[in-house]
Amino acid sequence: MMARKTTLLWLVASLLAVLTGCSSSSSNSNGGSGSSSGSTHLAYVSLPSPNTITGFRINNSSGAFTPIVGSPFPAGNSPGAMLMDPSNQFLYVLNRTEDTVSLFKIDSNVGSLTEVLPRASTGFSPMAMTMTSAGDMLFVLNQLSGSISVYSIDSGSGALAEIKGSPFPTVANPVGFALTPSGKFLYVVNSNLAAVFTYTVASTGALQQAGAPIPVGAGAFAIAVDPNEKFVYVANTADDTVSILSINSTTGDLTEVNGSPFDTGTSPISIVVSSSGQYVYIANHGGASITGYSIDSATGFPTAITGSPFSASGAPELLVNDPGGNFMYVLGQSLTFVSEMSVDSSSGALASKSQSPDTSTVPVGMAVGK
Amino acid sequence: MIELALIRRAVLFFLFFLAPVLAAAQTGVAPRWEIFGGYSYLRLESKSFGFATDYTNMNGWNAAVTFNWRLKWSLTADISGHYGTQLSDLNYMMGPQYNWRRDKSKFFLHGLVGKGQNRVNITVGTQDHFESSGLAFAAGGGFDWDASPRFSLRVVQADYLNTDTFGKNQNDIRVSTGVIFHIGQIGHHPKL
Repeated sequence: MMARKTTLLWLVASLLAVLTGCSSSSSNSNGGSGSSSGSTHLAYVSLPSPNTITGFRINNSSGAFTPIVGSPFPAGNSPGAMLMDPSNQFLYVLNRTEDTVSLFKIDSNVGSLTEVLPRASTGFSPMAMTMTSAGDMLFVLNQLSGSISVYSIDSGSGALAEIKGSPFPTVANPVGFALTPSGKFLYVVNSNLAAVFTYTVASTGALQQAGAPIPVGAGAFAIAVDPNEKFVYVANTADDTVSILSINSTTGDLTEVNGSPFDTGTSPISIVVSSSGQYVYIANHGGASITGYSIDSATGFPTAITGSPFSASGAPELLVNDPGGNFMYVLGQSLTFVSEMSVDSSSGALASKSQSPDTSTVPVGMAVGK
Repeated sequence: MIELALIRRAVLFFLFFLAPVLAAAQTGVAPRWEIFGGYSYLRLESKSFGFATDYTNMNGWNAAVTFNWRLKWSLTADISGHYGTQLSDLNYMMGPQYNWRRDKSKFFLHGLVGKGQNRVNITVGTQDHFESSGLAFAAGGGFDWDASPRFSLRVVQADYLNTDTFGKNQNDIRVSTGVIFHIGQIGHHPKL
């Protein structure tokens, strides 16, 4: 009898020891009770046709896409450009035909979006957004009104408050802009004038044009600033070139580097710089390809990456960097998915990796979190 | 990888630690019906829903009705529900069960198949939850101890549970414990 009871207790204890190994639970910073390897990040795309936003969770190493439950989420009229704040708590979306910007709170565990109303007003036809590195200021480029709306961002709620003096005038029909990482200078590109306009940014967010416009190539359409704040890159759609300009860190003045502009594929339309500043990628809309350059950190002189131009699905329209540096995302003109390319950190070479689940309609904007 | 290691450990446990027990002769009587109810824990693979957490710990309940056709063979209908942060689930399955009966205890193994239903409790627009149902199957077993002719204690029941919801497979672990009520009797006591 005693031996039987002892055996029973021993067997139960062994079984519980096995099972205890599975129930390791730790409250994660998201507030849920579960275990997380911290191995994923969020991404959202805007779908103007059904006025929705679709969300995915992307695996940091494999790049695999998992749809967010509850997606697609309702948005304003014709959602376009999107931005996530550095804390990954808030998503901002421009509603192009409504002339507003929406604020969404991001559920950090599920990834679902909840819009915080009311929407903030912008100028006419808001087409691009940028944000300071600290996430305390948001800038919106209004194409039809030729102005820039500037908002302060409440760090707790993400709420936008338009600053005094906003919107600030810029040239008519601007097509793109970029803010330096320090937040000191803002560069606006104008396609009709084939020029880049420089603005200083005060601590309040107020903008002041600085110096004369800098000529670049015909059809200047897209602009990017390198993370080290040394160079500005401009894609010249009509010239099939990229202009590379060095930045005066004191005045913000731009000077074209020796040899600029440099060749791209047909109709360069979007441009991104790697997080290291070492590589620049230009989407060639007419060539279904992506031109990649390695940049000399001292002179800004580009050297074509081995294998460039890289083949891209369809007619690429928008390149989006993954903050982790492992991937790049490509939105194409008629593609109802996001193409994912892997980035070789040592060579800068791109390779087709994966694609998102079908989004039913063509996405036009994308925001990727950390 | 964690799941595979856990499953291997569970299988090894049953094979090596239970082997001597399983080899022993079984007793002659058993209830015709067993009604089980008790507490249940579920570790749900929530990353398959796009959650940031790979696994979500959930607490709930488990109930089952077992028809003992023979001393060794039974048919079980099992239902369980679990609740966690932004998640809840409901599974109902049935299948065969094999019993190793001793004088006042029983080890068992079962294989169950049925339907699983997972629910994500978030609000989007006017919708306050999102639900998906699909095939569910479970494989596992446990140990019961007879407290009296009418009641047993389910010391532990552990299952690997797989559900197919939201377009993905979930690999879950379920552990339950509780009380069993006996109805009727089958078999006979061995002759002295």
